[in-house]
Amino acid sequence: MNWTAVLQALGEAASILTGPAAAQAEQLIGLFEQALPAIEKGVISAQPFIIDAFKLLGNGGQPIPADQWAAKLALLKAQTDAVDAQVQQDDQDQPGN
Amino acid sequence: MKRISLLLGIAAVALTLSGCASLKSALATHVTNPLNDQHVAAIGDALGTAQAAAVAYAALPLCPKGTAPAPASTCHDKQLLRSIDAAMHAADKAYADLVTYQQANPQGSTVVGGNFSQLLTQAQSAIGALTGIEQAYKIGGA
Repeated sequence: MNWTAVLQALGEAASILTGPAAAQAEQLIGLFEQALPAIEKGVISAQPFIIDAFKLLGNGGQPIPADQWAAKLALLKAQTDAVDAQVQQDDQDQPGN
Repeated sequence: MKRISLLLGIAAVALTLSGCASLKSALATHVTNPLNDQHVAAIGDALGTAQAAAVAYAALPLCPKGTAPAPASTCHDKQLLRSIDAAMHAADKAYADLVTYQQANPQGSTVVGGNFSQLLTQAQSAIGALTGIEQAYKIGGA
């Protein structure tokens, strides 16, 4: 088995990941790379690395917790609120259309 | 007797066909969410960037009345900002709907109905409408 080619293919596949999942993929590929000599000698199995890589590609990393979604939505709303406030201010400063 | 058998036969065929149609319909409406949380979050990041540009535009002084909105202006146009504000509200709503759906139906979950792709398309087009205005008027370096 050409494990270097497998590693390269996983690296290319992982390039679709973003954010924390991309960092996880980089870490996983780094560990896989370090383990390559031992894998090639048959000392350890490549299976856990392959399984982890497929899981990571499948779910894109850890699910985002509810509080992080809420924080993201709150930030977006705050920016919209800021523009709302300016629109109201404009109406006062320049009445009419 | 023959007539009864014939009627029963027709009824059996009709039931079978209607069963197939229901099954087909049920299979057609079951979809698997293909998107992971990071993908949905990245869409939100794009919206956040577009919104930040709008906030910066709103912070410019108000253009004098009668000035036509122009690209890369050093003041903000009242009507243009109204349009941007409306686009931001639409994008916020569409993205919040997508996030709510994603939280309830994470990647890989099978759900009834094709709502997911519809919500994704709505969010993307709402964000596209906002960035479209910004690009047209060169707001936020777009």
